[in-house]
Amino acid sequence: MMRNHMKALVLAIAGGMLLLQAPAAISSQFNDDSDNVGTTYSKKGADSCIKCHDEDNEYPVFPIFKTKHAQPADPRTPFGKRQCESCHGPGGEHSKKIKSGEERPPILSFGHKSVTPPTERNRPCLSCHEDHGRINWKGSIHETNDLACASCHVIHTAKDEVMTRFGQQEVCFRCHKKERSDIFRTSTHPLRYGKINCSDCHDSHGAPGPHLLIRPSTNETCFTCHAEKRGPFLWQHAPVDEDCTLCHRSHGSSHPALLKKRSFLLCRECHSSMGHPSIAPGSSTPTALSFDRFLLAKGCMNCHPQVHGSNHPSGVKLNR
Amino acid sequence: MKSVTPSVLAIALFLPLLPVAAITDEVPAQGTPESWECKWCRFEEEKGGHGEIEGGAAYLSTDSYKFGQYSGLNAKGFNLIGNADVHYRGAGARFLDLEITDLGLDSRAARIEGGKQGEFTFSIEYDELPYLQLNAAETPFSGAGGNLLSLPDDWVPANTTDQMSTLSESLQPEDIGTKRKNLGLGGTFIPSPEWNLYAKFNRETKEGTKTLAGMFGNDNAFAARSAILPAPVDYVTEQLEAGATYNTRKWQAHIGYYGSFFKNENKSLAWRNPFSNPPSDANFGQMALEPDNSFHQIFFSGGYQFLRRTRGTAHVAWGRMLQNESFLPYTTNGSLTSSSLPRNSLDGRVDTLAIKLGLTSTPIDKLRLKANFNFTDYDNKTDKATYDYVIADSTPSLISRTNQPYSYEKGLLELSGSYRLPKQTKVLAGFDYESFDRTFQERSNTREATAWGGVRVRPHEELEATLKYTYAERDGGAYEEVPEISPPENALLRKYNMADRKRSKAHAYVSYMPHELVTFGLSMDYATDDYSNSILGLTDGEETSVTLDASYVPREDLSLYAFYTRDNIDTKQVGSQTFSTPDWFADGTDRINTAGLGVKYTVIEDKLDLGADYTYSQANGAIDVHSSIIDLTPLPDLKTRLHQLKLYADYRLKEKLSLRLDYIYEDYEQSDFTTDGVDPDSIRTVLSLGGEDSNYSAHLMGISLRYRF
Repeated sequence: MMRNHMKALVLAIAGGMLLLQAPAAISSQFNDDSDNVGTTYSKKGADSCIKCHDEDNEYPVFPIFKTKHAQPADPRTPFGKRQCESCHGPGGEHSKKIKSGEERPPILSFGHKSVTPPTERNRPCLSCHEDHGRINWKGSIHETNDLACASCHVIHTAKDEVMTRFGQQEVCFRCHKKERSDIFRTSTHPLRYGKINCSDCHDSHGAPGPHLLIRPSTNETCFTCHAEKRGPFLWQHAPVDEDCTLCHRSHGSSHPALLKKRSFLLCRECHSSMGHPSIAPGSSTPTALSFDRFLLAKGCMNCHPQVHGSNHPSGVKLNR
Repeated sequence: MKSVTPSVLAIALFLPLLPVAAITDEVPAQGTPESWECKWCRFEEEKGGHGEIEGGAAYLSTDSYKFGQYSGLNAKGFNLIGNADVHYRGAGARFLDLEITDLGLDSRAARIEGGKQGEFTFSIEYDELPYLQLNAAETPFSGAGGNLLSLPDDWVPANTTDQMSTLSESLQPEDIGTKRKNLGLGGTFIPSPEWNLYAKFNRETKEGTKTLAGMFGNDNAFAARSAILPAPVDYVTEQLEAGATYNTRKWQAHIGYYGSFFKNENKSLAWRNPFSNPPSDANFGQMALEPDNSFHQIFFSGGYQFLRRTRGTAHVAWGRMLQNESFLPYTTNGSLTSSSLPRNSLDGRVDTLAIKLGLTSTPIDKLRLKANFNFTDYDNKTDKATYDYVIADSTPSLISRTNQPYSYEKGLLELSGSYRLPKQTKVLAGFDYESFDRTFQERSNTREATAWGGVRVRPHEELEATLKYTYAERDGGAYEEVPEISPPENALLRKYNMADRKRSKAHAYVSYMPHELVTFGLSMDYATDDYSNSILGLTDGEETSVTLDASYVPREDLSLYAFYTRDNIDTKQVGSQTFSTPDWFADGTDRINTAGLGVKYTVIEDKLDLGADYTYSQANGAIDVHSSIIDLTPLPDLKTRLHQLKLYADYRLKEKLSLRLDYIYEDYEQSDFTTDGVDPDSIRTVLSLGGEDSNYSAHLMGISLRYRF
């Protein structure tokens, strides 16, 4: 059962949120966020744009015609709507003739040099893509940290790097540098072989699970590939059912099976009962056998192999 | 466990929003104006078939299971290079995409996706994944891959492995590993732009062997004997997900079903006892392999834009885990027990519930507020029963044991806010509170409060920095012995997932661009866990990760990068060999260095591209166990080291034809006292598998032609 003080805290938050609605309601009337784009559309749509943004331009646009965004027969796409201006906003001012020396009025841009705040840049994308995959985007850790869609995605290209086998890791590792080193450890998931990708476990757009995991819990995410460990078993190993990462490092480890430590240390962090579990690793007492049988080969799993649980009626010690 | 509370909390959290939930939906521009001809748009040019196909050969210079651990590139010789990426665009938004990777390897994959964009899609995919765990392991057991392992007829059991007179002549090489083969089908149907119906199904087989220890003996662990066995892996896992989504600008909903069904073709593994002692009449042992199980889940996800600047999200998932595999007997050695099983199968059932509610609001431009509430319930409905078990097919246990269907329930509230100050400065702060309830464990409740704060600054366009600090304290109710656990744990032990803990974390990130061609980065994470109320068990943990990055892009056709990462992982734990107060201490010290540098260079535009990447990864793990009263043998350091060099050249022979050369060099060394030189008879009481060491030095050279169309 939830503790009473937890309930009180949530109710307090609810009250706080109620108070916040007053300024929110007022501000919503006065703050129109479309202040970075023009107000009138161009005369000829994409033809107005391509006139300048051809292959010789600093910002060529033609690769977009290799993508699904440029499908006029699909009314959901930008080219089924107002073409370039579906995303970049009305370009009437930007595309009009200007006098020599006059600065060309800006248009909403998305790249790294864009001065538009990420929320504004993301709005055109979310106007179509705030669907089931992006329901949780707003409020997610990436959104809170001011990432724009274009921080990871490139639209004007035949193949968006973040959607490719090896390209995705490179994009994620731009920020997640510890994980980049983790995948070179001796025990790791096959990321550097291109056989698994970050998005096989994580949904970068906001997800039901902790750490942006694709399923509601860490274990449920692990079970998508390791369903044999799901059980429930007759003899459970309590931390296993709670969280795989209590014992394992998911991105890479210097120890076998992505374990945090060797079993002769790891298991003894929780097991100290009288007899062999309490013996110091490396101890030659009470018998000379203590050293090799508890440390070498599979360590504790030399006798207790069923660490994820046993369904054998005699498997209470996880050895059957 | 009751799960009513979260519903009440959810309503409480969201109720205040309802009176102001009315806003007008913003209608996006629909349709294309008739005057917009788009005559320069390249719709027609992109119709028809386009793509690239690559074919060639790669030569690997050596046999190494470790080099090809997940690719199957493990044998000296030639391998086929085969890749394809082909797209077809037809009239009326019809499309068909085909992608093939690693056709010639054991890690091959293919995917076909087609349909009519905006109306329906279908996909078929196939994927193989090898995992090579051990090469040429040595075992006297025959029948690997099946569920009965035999020893030679002339096998002479002995008390210890060094006395097994027929062992060396009986050893046979056995490769240990698995192969996954996955077939997936999927489809979507879009009856209107708001609706999306989808279904996906995949069936994965995993076949091969893994290592599993089979033990004989009694409660005296020093008398126990075991053998590492090549255990069969023959799994089938099927997963099905189907759902529907409905999206408008103002609200979105997603409802669906997810099912996962695991089937093990082998229910048990029996093996002959290679030892003569303990009990000589324990001729065979039998182990239960993973039982068939299934999982069903119904989920709902939704988002609602209450106001232009306030959004709420909810995710609710109800699940049920089931397992009802027939029990094996207590022992195959019928003389050891006369008890009958309390039931024939577990009829195991766990109900799961996950609720995640989120609210994010930007009441004024500068202020951003967030509230999240997460609730997780793992409610184990499995019945208890008492089992008069037999210890390792060797000795009837003197006591009976009752299964403990562990359950837990977790509630987490997260509140945070950020405020934007002038000059692109943002301050952030948050508070989290977690309450964690467990059953049948030492501590029925723990609570953790976390506070964090940070700042993100961008004083100049060239400099961006983030600093964040987090502090958390966890405590809870009484830590009590669990009566069912026998023998009991030392009363001074605190299991680290339930122990009192003080955690500090710091994160720093700096990106500096002194020149538009040059970028430097510094990333640092530091975390320390203090379990100072734990007298035995894990008492301290400390992790640091620091990365320095640099990139230099002098021209559009040339880019260079370099990085270095240092990871330190330190832990301290305490034990009591005398089963009293602390008498031994173990310090774990892992030091990992990873460095890389690379270059991409277009020597001649549209003609010749070159690239090189070098990565170095080295890990050193020191374990220092010390005691003032126990004689201890020092443990050698654990070491791994990898050099990896990748080179490529891509030369365009003709407009559509390119020649590609690849070279990969890897040199790997490992020093691990737990496996190095450990032969089947090295451990007197454990008949182990031995096997080739994993060190290698491998060159892989590839030549291929790539045709674009």
